[in-house]
Amino acid sequence: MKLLLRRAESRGDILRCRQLIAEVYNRDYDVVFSEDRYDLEAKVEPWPHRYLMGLCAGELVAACGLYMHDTYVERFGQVTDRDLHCVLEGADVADDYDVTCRREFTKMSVRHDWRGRGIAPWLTGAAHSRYFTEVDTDRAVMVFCAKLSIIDNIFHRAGLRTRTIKEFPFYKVHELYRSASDPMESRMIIPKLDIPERWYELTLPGEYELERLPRS
Amino acid sequence: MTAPRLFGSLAANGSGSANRSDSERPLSELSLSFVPLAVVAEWTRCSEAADFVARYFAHDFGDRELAGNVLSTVVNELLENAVKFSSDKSIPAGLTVREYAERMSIVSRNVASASQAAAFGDAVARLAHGDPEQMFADRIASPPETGGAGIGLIMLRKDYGAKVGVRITPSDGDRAAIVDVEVEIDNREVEGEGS
Repeated sequence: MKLLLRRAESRGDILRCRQLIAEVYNRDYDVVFSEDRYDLEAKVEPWPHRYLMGLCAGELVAACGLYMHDTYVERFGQVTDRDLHCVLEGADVADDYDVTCRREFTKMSVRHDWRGRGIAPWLTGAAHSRYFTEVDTDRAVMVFCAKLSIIDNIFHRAGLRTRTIKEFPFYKVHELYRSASDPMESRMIIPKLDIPERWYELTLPGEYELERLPRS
Repeated sequence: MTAPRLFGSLAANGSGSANRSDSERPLSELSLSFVPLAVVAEWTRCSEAADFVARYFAHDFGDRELAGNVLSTVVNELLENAVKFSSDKSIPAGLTVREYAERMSIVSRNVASASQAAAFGDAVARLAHGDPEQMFADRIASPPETGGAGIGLIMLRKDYGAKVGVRITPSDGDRAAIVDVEVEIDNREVEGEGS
């Protein structure tokens, strides 16, 4: 199966991505969205700033987002610049990055009728391309939050290395997502150390044969 | 085709309760159609649409601000319900508000799964006839599972003495149902002169 990957640029493309994500998140987690009046206790999520589209024969089958600033982990996960600096120091690359610049991968969504084809880990890997994140322009770090099973089955399956920052606090918006046995964490991905070259240098836009990634 | 089922104290057809004459014409009327998915994607559309509809009718009341607040609360509740209980969020839902001399009728319409519709009808049947103060206290003490219906409609009964009815019309070979929810409120409540 070939997947055309491109950033959503036009108003129409952005709306298509938002509607796909909204449909999936509302159906799976009973969540709604808002551009500027979000409230995690009322299950109203904020929208990301940038979107990556996964199209098959012109049909949008998957989409994900990227916070370019005001990341979810800092707004809601209580992650501070100091937390991020500590993780970079631990990897001995603190001087190579600017912790005030961060991008956050988020809202990975595959249409229900296109599931079971390995799209999620593949698109997650592709969304860490520097052509999408542009982390190379301002020495930004990548962060995200997810439950542990997703980190293993999606991020690690894509070959991405992830580094724990801290546990993510409980909010009502995640009541159908996380559980006591599958908690959420905020994590960092250090671009030059943790993103395999196949993803970091993946040219976007581009059409790619989707391969099933083996489970780690 | 299976006949519609009625729940609650109203016929939920926009013409008022069953004991009223169907020939009574509204003094004013406003209808809108919307795609629930667009509301899920921007939740503030719910309150913005409710405020718009409320302001449209508030001109006919002495205390516009109060009337606007009351009507916005009622409309917002029905809009949220219609979005929440739409099984396919891409199928348009609707809202019709009719103003009569003595009352306002607000009707929402959406397509739900048959099981969602049945559960919703049962919930409305219970809340339409029970003691709203007691039901409200019960709901606060033991909230329903996620997706449960009712607290908003109970509040409309408790705070404004609203009458609530649901009409459920099977569709798509009984796999889905068209759900019409009607809330009727006395204009004295809209003007803050309720008992």
